[in-house]
Amino acid sequence: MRAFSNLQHSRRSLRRKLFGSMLLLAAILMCFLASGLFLSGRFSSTKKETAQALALQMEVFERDISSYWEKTAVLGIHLSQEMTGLLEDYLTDHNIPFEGLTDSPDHIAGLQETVIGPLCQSLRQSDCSGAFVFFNATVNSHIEYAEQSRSGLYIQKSGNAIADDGLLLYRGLADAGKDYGIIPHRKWRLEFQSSLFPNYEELVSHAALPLETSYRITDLFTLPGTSEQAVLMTVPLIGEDGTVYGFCGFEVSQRYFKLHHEQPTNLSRMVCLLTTGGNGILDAEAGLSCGVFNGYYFAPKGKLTAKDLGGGLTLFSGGSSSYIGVSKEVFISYREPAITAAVLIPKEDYDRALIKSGMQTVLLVLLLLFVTIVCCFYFSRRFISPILKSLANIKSENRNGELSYIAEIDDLFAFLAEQDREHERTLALLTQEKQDAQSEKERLQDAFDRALEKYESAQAEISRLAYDRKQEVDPADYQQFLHGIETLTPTEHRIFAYYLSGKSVKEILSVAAIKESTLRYHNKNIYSKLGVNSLKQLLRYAALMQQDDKGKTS
Amino acid sequence: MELDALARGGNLYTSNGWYDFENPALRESWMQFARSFVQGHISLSDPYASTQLTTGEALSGIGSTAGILYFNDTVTYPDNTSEPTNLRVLPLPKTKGEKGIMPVTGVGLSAYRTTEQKAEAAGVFLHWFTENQRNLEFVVETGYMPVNNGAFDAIDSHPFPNESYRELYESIKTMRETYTPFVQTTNSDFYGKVNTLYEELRQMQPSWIQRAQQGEPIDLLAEEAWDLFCSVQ
Repeated sequence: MRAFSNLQHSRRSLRRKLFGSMLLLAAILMCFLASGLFLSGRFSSTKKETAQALALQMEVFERDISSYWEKTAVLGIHLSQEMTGLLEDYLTDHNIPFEGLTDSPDHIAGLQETVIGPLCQSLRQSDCSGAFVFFNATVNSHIEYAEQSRSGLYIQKSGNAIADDGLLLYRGLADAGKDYGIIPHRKWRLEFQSSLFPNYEELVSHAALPLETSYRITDLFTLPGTSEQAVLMTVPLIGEDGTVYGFCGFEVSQRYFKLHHEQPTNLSRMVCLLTTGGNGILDAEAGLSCGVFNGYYFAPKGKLTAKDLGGGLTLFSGGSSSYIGVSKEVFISYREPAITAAVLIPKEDYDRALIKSGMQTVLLVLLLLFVTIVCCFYFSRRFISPILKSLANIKSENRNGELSYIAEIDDLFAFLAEQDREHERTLALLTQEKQDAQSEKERLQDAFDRALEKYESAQAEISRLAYDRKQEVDPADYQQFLHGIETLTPTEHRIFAYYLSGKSVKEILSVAAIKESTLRYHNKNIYSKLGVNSLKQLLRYAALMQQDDKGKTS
Repeated sequence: MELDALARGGNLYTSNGWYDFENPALRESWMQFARSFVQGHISLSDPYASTQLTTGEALSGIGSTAGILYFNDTVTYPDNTSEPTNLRVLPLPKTKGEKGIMPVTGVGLSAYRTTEQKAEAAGVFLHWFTENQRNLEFVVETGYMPVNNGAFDAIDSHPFPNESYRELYESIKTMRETYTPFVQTTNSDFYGKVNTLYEELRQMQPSWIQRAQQGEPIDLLAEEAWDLFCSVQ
């Protein structure tokens, strides 16, 4: 405080003072600006922008997958109805019960040849990587694990295009596929194994009409014999009498989903998950994932622990990596647990964005600071220069220079000029008065000299007259007078002094506060001691005495 | 067939890039093939030779080295019984008394030289990629042939995933040392004509088998097959 006071009262140049004031003003403005930015949420804009971007991507992703699975469900239901119809027609045409298919290679081959065409057509109509149909029948019920064996067809697209002509036969009779140019998959098998079919028991338990509520999406599983992962959209084959003949549906492989659901986005390493989750855990490897359009992404591994970061963002921490994102439960089929959609970006990307934003703010502040200082320096200099120039003019008493074009300064100069003129007028008056006084002084001096001259003449006359009187006075009497003075009492001496000072009898009576009789008594004694007969003689001797004293001192 | 014809001598192709039917060695080789073919002893496979082995339709086949990736580990028969595939790999058959010939095909690896730095980077990558052990590990994963002597030398000590792969790469090593590489014509029409020939042979084979079983002379049927071969122009 004291230092501030010292600083405040220290002697500083006008320019420095203005520069300091401008800096202070700029600092106050910047504080207000920072407060405004803080209150308006500008400092948390990265988080807000990320949350908004992820929310938007989530909306896009949710629409994409909802639309996709709805379409697939519609196609699946249609496929189920068609397969059921073909099966029942085949059974009717050949006059065999459904159970008659088991252990009948000919009928199974015939049925597969009947359904393979429509199945291929459905697969090509769909936006899926494979299609299948299997019946609760087997070509050989006498072999080991025959109760788990299901006869049917499983066809996959060999490429990634939606309308790829190349098909592979993953399950089913190779001859049935041969007529359609479908070559067996390198891990081909003749029949399905229900024990290897994902969620099979659950599917069987929920197989009931209407089909609109009985289609299911399985967990992500690895296709037996391959490293390919996929989920299946399954729809039961249910006859009019309620008999469950088997299942059909579509396969969506991870590879296919990734390629056909690339998300348009500016988030370069975004990951979209369609998986299971709950209780703060997101199982990243239990579902499908996709990334960004024409880009790469790093699919999360294992289970991710969710932690709310506020502002609509969640931190998903895994064993090897962490992500920032949003998640939402979505409905794509009746199943438990429900499916969760998540849109994530690597945490390091988010952290980098935060640092970048911070750096931008710091750079902006530094830039503003630099510009402020430069502006303060420039404008203080520009503003003060004419004032300093004017002050220099004032010092140099050159007040009739050029105009400064600053109203206050020009007014000041006009005022000072008027003051100068006023001073000149006053000076002229004083000079005149001085001259007058000088003349008067000379005149008075002359009068004084003349008076003095007269006085001296008079004094000389007085001396001459005193001398004359002295000559007339008896020296013995005068000497007695002089000796008599020394014999006077104090009261007599005081009264004698009154007489010498020219006071009258009345004045002496008044001043000495004595009666006239007392004065006469004193007078008598004084006359006697001085040797005089009258007051007139006394005053004459006194004048001679004073004349003598003056003559001795001069 | 064509490798046998090559081993017997003469020109295999004419200047227009198709087979030289005037070459007696070609006809002789063809007839040897056709006599088995019309009786059903040989089958023209679908795109991959492994298919008919997987379904138990065939016991042996000739295919590319990379075909090993497509062999199923199980043979499943039409009655849904199955057994593990016992895959044995041998060098390509050769004409008796002649040096073996092996067709070689494949693609190279190239990089655009956009800048000197990228050219150098591509060179560094290729050197890294073709180091002996790394090259062998890569080709074993993909079924290709090694590209340098060091990688071939490392075959004997390489830990292959199973015995089939060991046999494959030992066969490749044997063929590299004793066979003559052969590159098929690069004429653009060649493979179109080959596919046409294969397709017509596949269509005709069932009837030829049936006629052979009914007692028609095999040579006559083989002649029909030769005529069909010659008709593809």
